[in-house]
Amino acid sequence: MVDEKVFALYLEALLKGNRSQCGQLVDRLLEADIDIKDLYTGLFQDSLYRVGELWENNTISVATEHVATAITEGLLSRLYPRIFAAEHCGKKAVISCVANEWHQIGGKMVADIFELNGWDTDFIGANTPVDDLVRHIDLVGPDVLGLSLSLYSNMEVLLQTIATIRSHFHELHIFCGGQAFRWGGLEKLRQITGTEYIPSLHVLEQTLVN
Amino acid sequence: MKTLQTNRQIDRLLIDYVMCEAAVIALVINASGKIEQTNAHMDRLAGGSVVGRSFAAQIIDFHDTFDIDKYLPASERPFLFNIKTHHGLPQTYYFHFHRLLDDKILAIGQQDAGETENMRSTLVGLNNELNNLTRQLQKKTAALERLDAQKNQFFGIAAHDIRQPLSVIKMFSEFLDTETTEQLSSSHREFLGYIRKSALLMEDILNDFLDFSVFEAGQLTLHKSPTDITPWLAQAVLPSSMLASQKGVEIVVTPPNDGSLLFIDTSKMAQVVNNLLGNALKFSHSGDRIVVELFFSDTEIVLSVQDQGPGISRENQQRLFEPFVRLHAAPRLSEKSSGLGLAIVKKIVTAHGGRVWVESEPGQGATFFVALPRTDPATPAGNVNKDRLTNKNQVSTLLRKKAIDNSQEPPAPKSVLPQ
Repeated sequence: MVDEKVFALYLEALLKGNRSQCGQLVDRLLEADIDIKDLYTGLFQDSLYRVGELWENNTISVATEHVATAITEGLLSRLYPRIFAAEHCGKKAVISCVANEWHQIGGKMVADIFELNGWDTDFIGANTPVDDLVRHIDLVGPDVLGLSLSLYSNMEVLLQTIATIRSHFHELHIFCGGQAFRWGGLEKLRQITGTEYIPSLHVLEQTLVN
Repeated sequence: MKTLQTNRQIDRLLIDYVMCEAAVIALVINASGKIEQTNAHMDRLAGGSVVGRSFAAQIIDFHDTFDIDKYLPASERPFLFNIKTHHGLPQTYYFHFHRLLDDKILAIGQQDAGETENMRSTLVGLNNELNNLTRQLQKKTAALERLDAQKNQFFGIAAHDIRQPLSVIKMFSEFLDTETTEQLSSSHREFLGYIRKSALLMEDILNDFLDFSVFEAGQLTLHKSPTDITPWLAQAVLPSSMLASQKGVEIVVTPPNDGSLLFIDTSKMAQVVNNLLGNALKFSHSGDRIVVELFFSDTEIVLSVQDQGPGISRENQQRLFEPFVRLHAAPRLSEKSSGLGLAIVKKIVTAHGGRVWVESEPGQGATFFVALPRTDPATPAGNVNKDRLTNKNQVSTLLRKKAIDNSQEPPAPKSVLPQ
């Protein structure tokens, strides 16, 4: 687990855009042999949730939020040698953001949690048009498709994307997650069979382990 | 008088600049919160005029609690608001609100140059870091590719060089077996049999290594020709059916109900059939049956090989076609293999533009499917194929149904072995 004091120091550095201090704190945690999953949920996810709240409350600017996200993405790439070293189980997942959704870090972290659990994961990234997504799914043949949504204003795009995917791949298991669902959309999502809502990286981790 | 005129001129120029060119937001808001006047920068952000709209509707307000009176009277501290933009990405502005004489409000918003500069330097730093990481990654990839090529070369050379002494072992053990039958005891002849069997097994493994090294090196060349599926399948099954009969296993082939020609490399596809049958045989017991069937769709012909072995769990099915993976229940010692048979199947089928998959439940046997396109895949593919988009289980179910629907009387299974 991430100590509260370390978390506060990291968040402060993140909001100031102090990339090197954030890196040093993460390095120290890694030296102390922290579990990568704890790092993801206890540091990266929670700090970005806090950044998101501060942005929503008009306490920090878009620029500060983008810097925090960019610093976190940079730190994630430092962990890839550990993430991709996991023994693979042969299952495949495709993770993507829908069209017009530019917040990709949540989806990236989801893809990494899959990799940590031995799945081969394709992360397609931000603002993916549905036709590109259909072609990629056809090419890869995943067991699971994960769709990440940060902005509630894109909820309709998400639901349309799921409808299109479902018309092509009748039995593909789809799950969705992201901060957008804090503002609604769950009822509509639950009406679509074979579609699941995963509220957090922790729940995803538990689902994959079980 | 002149100074006054100059000051008015400066005021006019400044107002024109703010209204037409400056990268600041200037709005006049009436008592009911509607925007009465905007400058060009605001119009550019919104993608058109926002006159007549509510100011609250132009900002992102997650809590829906915006009340402009909270920000009056004018404070020295600016207030942060995120403005909606026509391209969907909000931008942060720091606002000052001033009450005007007629109860209207002047709102002036600007961006923080320091924040923008901080973001720029962070992004430049991150970009440099990522470029360096990409460079290191490319170097490592190049080194790994060289290592992989060396591995394939080693594979091929090792397999080739071992084949020569192995041929000698095979030849002389056969010679001893035939020429010294009278002089050897029964146990000695049994030992000779072990030597011959082991040599044959090792030869199969070496052949797999050689094939795989060729495929991995990207040197798989197909010599495709239009092939009548019926006689070809009967021929392709024969070598395995001989082995099956020795083991007391029956290979049953359902005669195909379509005289279609398939565009295949007959030798390589025969290897596919034999690898699948070899795999099925490994996990079959005396008295078991292996059923070989063909199904037809408009776009594909599907070959299936069904065994009565121990079956494969769903998790393990995913990894079956990877090289050196042995996930089945253990085969007999005498039936050890290279672990490359199914990987070779996948390579050959994929090179034909086809696909391969397995359906199985633990304890209920396994069925391997090979789907080959009816047309030469060298022809440019069209849009996404609907058949391929459906679940593979559905494909097999549909194909089964189709095969039965297409024939008035379902054909009786026929063994290729002499009865």
